[in-house]
Amino acid sequence: MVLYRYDEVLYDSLIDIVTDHASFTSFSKMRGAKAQQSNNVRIRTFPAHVDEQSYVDSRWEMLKTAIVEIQNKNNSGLSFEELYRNAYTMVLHKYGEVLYNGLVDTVTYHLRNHVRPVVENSISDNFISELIKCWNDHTVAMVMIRDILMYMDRVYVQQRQCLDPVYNLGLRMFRDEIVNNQDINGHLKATMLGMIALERQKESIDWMSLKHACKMLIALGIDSRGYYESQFETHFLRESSEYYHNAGQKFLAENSASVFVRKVNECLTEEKERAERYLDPITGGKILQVLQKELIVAHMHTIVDLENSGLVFMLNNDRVDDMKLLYQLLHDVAGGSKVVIEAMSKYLRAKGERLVSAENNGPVNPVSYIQSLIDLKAQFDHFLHRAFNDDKEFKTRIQTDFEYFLNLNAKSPEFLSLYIDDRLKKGLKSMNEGDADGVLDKAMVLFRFLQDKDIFEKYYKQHLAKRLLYAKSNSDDAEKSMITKLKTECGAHFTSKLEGMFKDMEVSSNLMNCFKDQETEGDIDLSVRVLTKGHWPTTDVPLCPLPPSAEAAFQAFKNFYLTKHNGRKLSLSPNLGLADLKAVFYKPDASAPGGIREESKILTVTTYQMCVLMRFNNADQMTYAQLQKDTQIPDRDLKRALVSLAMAKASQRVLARTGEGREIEPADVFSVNDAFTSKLTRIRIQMVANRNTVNENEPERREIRRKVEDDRKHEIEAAIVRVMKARKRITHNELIAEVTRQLQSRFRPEPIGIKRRIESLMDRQYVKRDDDDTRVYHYVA
Amino acid sequence: MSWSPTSNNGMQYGPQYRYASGSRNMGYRSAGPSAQQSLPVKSKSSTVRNLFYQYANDPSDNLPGRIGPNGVVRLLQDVKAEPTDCSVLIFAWKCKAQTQCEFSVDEWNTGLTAIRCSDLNDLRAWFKNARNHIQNPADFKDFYKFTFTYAKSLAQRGLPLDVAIAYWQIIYDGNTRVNHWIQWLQNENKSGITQDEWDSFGAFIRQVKADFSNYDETWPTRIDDYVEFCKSGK
Repeated sequence: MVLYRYDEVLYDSLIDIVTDHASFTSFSKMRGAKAQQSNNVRIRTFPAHVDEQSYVDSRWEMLKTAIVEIQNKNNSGLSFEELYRNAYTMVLHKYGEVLYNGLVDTVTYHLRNHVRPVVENSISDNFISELIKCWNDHTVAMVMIRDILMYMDRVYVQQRQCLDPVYNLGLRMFRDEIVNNQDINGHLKATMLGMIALERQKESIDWMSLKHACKMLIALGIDSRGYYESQFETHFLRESSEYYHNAGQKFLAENSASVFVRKVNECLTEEKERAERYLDPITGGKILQVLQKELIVAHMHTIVDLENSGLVFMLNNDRVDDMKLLYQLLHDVAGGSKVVIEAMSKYLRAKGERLVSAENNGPVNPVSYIQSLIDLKAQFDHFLHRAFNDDKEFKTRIQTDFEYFLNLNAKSPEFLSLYIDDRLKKGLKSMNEGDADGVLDKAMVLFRFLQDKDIFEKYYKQHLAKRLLYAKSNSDDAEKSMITKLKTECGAHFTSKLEGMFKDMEVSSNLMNCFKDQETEGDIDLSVRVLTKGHWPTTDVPLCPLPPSAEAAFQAFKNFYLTKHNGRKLSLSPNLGLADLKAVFYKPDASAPGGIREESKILTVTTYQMCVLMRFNNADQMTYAQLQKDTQIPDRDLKRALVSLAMAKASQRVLARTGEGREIEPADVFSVNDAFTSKLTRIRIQMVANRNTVNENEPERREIRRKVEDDRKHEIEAAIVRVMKARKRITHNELIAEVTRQLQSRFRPEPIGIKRRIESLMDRQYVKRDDDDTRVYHYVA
Repeated sequence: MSWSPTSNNGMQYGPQYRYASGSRNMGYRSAGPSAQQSLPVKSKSSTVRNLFYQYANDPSDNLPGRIGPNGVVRLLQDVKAEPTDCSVLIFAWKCKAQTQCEFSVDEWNTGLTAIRCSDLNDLRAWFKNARNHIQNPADFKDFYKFTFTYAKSLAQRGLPLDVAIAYWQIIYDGNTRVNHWIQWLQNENKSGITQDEWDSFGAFIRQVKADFSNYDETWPTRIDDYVEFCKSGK
């Protein structure tokens, strides 16, 4: 077509000039014909009024021919300018309707009679490409037609809202005549879906055609995706849904979570590629959703819970990579992460619970108990990092779970203290500083999970006291480091007493140095440690009378101390402390003078044992009852002392005992065991019932509990008063919440307990209830 | 007319008695509204005083200047009121009495002025209808709170259980909920009642519905236990 595109403005004005000439020319042609007919050359005036109808008809005929030519791809001989002009003229003279309707008829005729048969014939062979070819031809033609009839578009159509512009009209007609035709339509759908199904079976298809077909459908929607959706997308999604539903079942049948995950990932990739390659982008998103629904969401519970390959199996066998894939797959799906978290949490809790209730099967070694928990935490940290991508939700859940089962066992705080005790006593010897610190840090991690931190504090104090007094601690640095860690975690208040204990030790050693310098006399080598009562865990122990020499030495020190620190009170703790005794055993020996040989040993014993043994200087034999009366040592301690001296290992039996029972009876008689032998000269008598240092006796445990309860009552009351003083007026629920919050770093108070404390304070007139609203409390200054 | 000791109300009775207001208080407080009556004031207040001394200084009481237990007994006989009746307690409340079964002169005066009685007839009538004076919730609350302080001895902080129960029965005569509470107390607890528990119970009976639907955890623990008992029993 000549002059396909032209500047419209210029053209319009050109038309105006040319039109008259054209009509004149054509008219004159006609006239010329007519004139030739009549063979009369008559000059007539230019008729003022033209026969419009025929003029219009002729214009239309010309256009119609042109349109047909265009549709038949014979447009090269056409003059764009002329056609445009014709259309323009028609519209200008108000014959737009003729033009429009004519257009409709022409195009319809062409589609119906030329295009459709072609497509129908190709149904058996090459259908899609034929259809696409026709479609392309049609669109190209319509573009040209639109260009010619542009004036009509802009003026005639514009004025009538219900009419489509030319191009859209073309689309609609194609749709109605071709694509909506029953046979063609059905075949089209079947072909498209069939091709996709084939491709899913890994056969190659002509995806280019499919792409064009999709584009065509979208275009046919004329500004909306509705047509495309109804013709193709809905069916595609539905079929895909069915396909993947079945596929999912098939994958499941493989009965392996890792295989399933892998296969699903493959499907996802495939569909994504397909969508990118030839489907509409929005469809791409939808198909992924379908996959997620059919493959992942439908089966995620099953997969995670699979017996021999699900999450539990993976956790048990450290299949980190499989877990990672599973996590990534489920992470993208709503609710997917949750399924994994729940399963992991269940597993962790079960494992944790098993560990903490291990003592139901017998006495538990605290060190291994804590160590196993530390190892469990390390294992899950490893999972968190390698498989779950340090996901915050997982991290929080692991922490919650640890808090849960650690606090199931009421002895956890005690055990943790014992574990640290053990480490500080011997365990860290082989490690360098960094490693040692690491071990303590791991212990601190568990500490954070403890609910009853105040119980831990009590036990830690006790254990620390023993470590310091018996010099059991391996590394001073490690001890100090531990204190610092606790301080960072809980604040200075927590560690002030512990630090006090350290200070006391230092002060004591300085004191001893001064004392030694001063006191040169005295036949006992005395070493004293002065403990500040408030810092150390003390039990009130009644004083037992010491042997005179010991007593004298103690008095000497006491005088020395009191001259230095006037106004203080010193009392001896007989339940602590050691003594070295020189023991002479008289062994029957034929070769010695008098048949008796003296053998000296040095025995290291506790204060109580010292008192007991010194008694045997005055008597050869004593019954238990007598010993008890003489030494005034409390029953339990005396029994323990005697058991260590008389009933322990053979290499320790300094005393002999008559009496067969396991328990010491008041009538049992004790005497010095002259037959005692040992390779060593210096023997340390171990305090028997080592289980005591590892597992507290029940009475002692109850004692600690009681003290802790008392302390807690005071702490709750202090907290209540603090809150009331600050707020002056507060509701019941707020008070409970506030008090719980203040105490949460120590322990978790029960609301009932807090309530009782409030009532006690009310009784003592620190707090009163509001007159009108029973829920409100007032501070009483 | 001879000069007589009187309060400022004397001004209303004759121009010849012109006293500065409130200046002549010979041991009496003003008789208040009773002065509106046409009786001469001196006989009014002295009636009250005389009435007081009818019962005070009872030799068997050994409480000089006060009405003691025996005096009270006689008083109650005269006004025809039962000693265990609530009206006695209400009377004590009106008097703002400090100690059980005792009244001082001031307390007596306060009381009789507050209830606008000056002789036995008035008192008799009043005692019969004493309950009307605690119908108003605000009055009742004040009265109820007063009872605790009145009932307990100065030495202790709390009220022995049996004393508390006795007073509850007097005040809430016949209330089934209270009786149920008393029954439970007798079975469960032996410890005394604190001020908070006493006051809260009053509020409890007033506010909390019989099915405990509006009960929450802000009540004292003893009432919590009671409610739990009720709920589990039902």
